[in-house]
Amino acid sequence: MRYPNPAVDAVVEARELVKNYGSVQAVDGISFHIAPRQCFGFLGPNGAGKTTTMRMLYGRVMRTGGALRVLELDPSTQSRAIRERIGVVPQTNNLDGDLSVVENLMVFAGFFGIGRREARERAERLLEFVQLQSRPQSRMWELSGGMQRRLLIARALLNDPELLILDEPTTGLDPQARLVVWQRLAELKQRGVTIILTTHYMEEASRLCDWLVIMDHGRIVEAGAPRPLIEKHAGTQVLELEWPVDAPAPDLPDRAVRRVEQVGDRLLLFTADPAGILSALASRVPTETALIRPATLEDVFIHLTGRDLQEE
Amino acid sequence: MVVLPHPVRARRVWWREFISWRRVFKTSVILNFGEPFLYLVAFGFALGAYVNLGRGQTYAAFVAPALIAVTAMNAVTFDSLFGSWNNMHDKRVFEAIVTAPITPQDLVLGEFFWQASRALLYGMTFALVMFAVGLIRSPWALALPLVLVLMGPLFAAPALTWAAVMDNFEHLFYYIGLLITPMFFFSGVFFPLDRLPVAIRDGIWLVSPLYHAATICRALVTGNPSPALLWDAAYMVVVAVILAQAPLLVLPRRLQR
Repeated sequence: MRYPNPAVDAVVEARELVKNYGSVQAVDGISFHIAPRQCFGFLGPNGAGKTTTMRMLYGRVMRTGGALRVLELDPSTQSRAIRERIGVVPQTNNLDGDLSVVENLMVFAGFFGIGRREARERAERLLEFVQLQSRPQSRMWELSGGMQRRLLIARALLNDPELLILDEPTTGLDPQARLVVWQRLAELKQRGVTIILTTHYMEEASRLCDWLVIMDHGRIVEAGAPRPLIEKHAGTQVLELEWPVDAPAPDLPDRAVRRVEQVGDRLLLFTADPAGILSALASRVPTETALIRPATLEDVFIHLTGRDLQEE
Repeated sequence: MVVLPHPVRARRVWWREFISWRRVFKTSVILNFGEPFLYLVAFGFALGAYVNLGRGQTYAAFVAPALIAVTAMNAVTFDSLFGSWNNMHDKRVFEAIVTAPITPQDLVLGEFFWQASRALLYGMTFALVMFAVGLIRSPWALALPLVLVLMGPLFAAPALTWAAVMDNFEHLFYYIGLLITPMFFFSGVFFPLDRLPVAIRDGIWLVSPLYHAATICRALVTGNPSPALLWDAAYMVVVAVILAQAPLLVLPRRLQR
């Protein structure tokens, strides 16, 4: 019984979930539903409530209100049973600095009651999976940030989890290390592991997630599949112009510009025909710094919250 | 809701502590064992040459057995205090453990198991050295492990609680300065308490676990245990059970918010 009963349609079911710290509302009544084998993303700036939400799922943080079921169990009373069946990659590295790479895995496997021989087999297999097979004896300070993150992922997979929770799995990694993590997550998804991740990288969310929610100030402000979300809020193409903050927007030809937004010293024109608009405006705008690009989740986020995704 | 710790899962925590200890034991033996050895030489032999307790016993023979208890107390206290504090803060070891299917209660019980091992290991190492230099002759000394194992949770519980409650590392030293050091000096380790006023003696009996542990160790090493020792043993058991509730209450709150 490694995988959820197909008759059951939710790995996680949250209704009006609330977490207050004193008078601070970290999570303010969010509802969502995560289907088996889905990759579900929580997008939002720091402080949006993503990490608190993740922690409520495995009982690290107790909810203040609302209903929550994870693998049909209640995290406030059955979190140990939930943790038997899930893997967690925390935002802050908590590998055991007193132990070597392979000892980290062996000891953690022990926490699940996995026997020594079986643990060794799994450790070897997982070290290969995350490309650390050449470093079993290394200590934590000898590993790069990317290696540590990969080891965290290996550790989270020791119990063959049905659900993998990753809190900002690639924050702080260089692009190459990030790519390795993405490949591994894509493989896991293919194998049928349900994945929940938080991120503030749009590319990560659009590449990996089947469904995502955008959080801000403890609330879900929008939800949907990445592509339709972008099309809904930002169309397909964007024309970016260099534009002084206080300058009035240029007179535009009526056709085909769905929205204009000023972000810093850039003017964003959301349009299906950016090249046509640019040539029509050619005499009145600085064309050499103009940029035509596909619309992204970043545009969606800025539109919905008026803020950059990585802003505090 | 009362969550009971599970011994099987606690043993898994013990295993983590053992693996991590195995890496550093050479240096930690010097730290935990060198100090009481120094006391034995400085007080037992050097100062002892000038001391006559009037009991037909050398001063070294008086001090040494109690130092077994001191060794165990320090081995447990320092690890439970500073080691646990680090595991709760920068090292995030406890955080990782309770992300696995280990409850905070299992974790506390695992720490008790581990500290019992430490008390046993460091206490008996010191006892072996005493045996080698001829300070132990009675077969009753074979019962020392029982006292030492009991000292594990007895001294770990308050230290672990203090570490869990204090956010500031500097405040850990108050535990040593306010509790451990006075206990070390006034628990009958270095001088017999029989010339102190009764009220003070009763006070020490009441508040010092070390007094009881040292009393039992001394009686076993010198080979004249009396039935009165059962009171000391009972004290240790009862106080250990009471104190053990504190980390079981405090650590879950610290690790799950």
